[in-house]
Amino acid sequence: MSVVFDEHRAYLTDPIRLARFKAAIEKVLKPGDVVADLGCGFGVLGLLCLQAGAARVYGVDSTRALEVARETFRRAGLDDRYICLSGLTSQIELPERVDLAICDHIGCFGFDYGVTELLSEARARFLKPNGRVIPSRLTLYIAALQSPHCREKLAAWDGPASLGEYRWLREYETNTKHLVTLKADDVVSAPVALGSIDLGAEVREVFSYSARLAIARDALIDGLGGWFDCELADGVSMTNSPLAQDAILREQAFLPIDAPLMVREGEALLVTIMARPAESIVVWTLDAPASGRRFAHSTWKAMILSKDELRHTKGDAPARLTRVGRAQRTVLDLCDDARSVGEIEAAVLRDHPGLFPTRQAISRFVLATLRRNTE
Amino acid sequence: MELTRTFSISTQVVARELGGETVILDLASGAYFGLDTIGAQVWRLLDAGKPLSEICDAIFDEYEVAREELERDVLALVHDLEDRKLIL
Repeated sequence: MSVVFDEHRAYLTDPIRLARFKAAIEKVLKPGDVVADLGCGFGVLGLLCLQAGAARVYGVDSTRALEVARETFRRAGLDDRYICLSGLTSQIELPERVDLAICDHIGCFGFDYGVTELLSEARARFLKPNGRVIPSRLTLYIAALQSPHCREKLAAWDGPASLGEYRWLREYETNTKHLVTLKADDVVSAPVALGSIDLGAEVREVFSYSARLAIARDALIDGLGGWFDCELADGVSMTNSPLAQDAILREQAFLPIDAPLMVREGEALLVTIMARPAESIVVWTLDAPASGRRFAHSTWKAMILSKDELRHTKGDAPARLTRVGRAQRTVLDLCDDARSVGEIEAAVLRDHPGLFPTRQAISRFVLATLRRNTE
Repeated sequence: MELTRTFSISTQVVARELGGETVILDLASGAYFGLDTIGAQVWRLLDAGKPLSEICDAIFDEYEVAREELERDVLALVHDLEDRKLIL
């Protein structure tokens, strides 16, 4: 639970972020607007919308954070105007179309926490034809990094304390997009804008960029740093750039290379970035023509997969439920608006003997299945 | 398909090892595919720019398979990869 509170405490106590969203809402929202607050968490963006004159806000979230939003607005006497809806934006049904969709699933590299998919789904499913979105545009930035802090992350698997059998996991670390707090000194090339994403338009599934980085000083680089500049509304933006004086409190992305690379002032590095944000896949390459070195990495190589998952990708392989899957099917088949939870639990106990160690475990399993799949 | 042909791996494809096998991801579709041991070797040699004839030679030298059957299987795999736009 502390992870949830840590995340949302940062959102609620970041004065620059709150001020920028407040300014954007005042520019974009019209009194009486109906708003969708997507991935709402504790609901602070929706609260700002109500304070700015929105008629009502639908807060959509698939996590337990929604319950904090629900209680907050109940205590504030605003639960008739802030309506909490549990579920995914791609599946939820709103009772009406909305004038504005607002969302801060911007992540640390812009596209890595779902904002492109959430706003795209809102456009398709419940935004009015002339509806507005906040934020409206994302620009992604990349630069070369020299960072002892980042280098330590990779070296952890090499040290003497590391059991030799686990050293192969260094490959996973060098193929992971890390969240780090960078300092201005860590950046050794002028940042380059990779490209911009119009969040009010249809968003593609794959992003592909290339950039040429000019090294600003002699350095031993550890990889690439990524961050965003986000236009919330016309004339209102926020950034997590490590070079900005007014950056919001948010980490940046560190994309490693598997060995530090010596570079000289004035040298050029050629970088490509490809991403499938919906699957959290980022691919990056770095070419150093001066030295002939080439690095190619991908978060795909660090995803923990099993051979069972591969089996499901073969079109002719039969699908087979696990024991737990069969128990879930039992629960869902018995949801007929007539049977009680107790009757369903009894059926699971009868039809799946030995699957759960105690009656309490059955109860928890049935409730979790019902929570995910029933109204 | 001529055995003298060479191919390049699409820039939209990423390969990795999993449990000793090779798995390739098509970024364009998000789908991923497993290759068995021989398929993985074909993939590595395609990535190295080897023509199909040399790929068949390398596998023929390593495995006890009939040459005609080997060429047929390699061509079928390469056709499949080309149809999926994983190789060009």
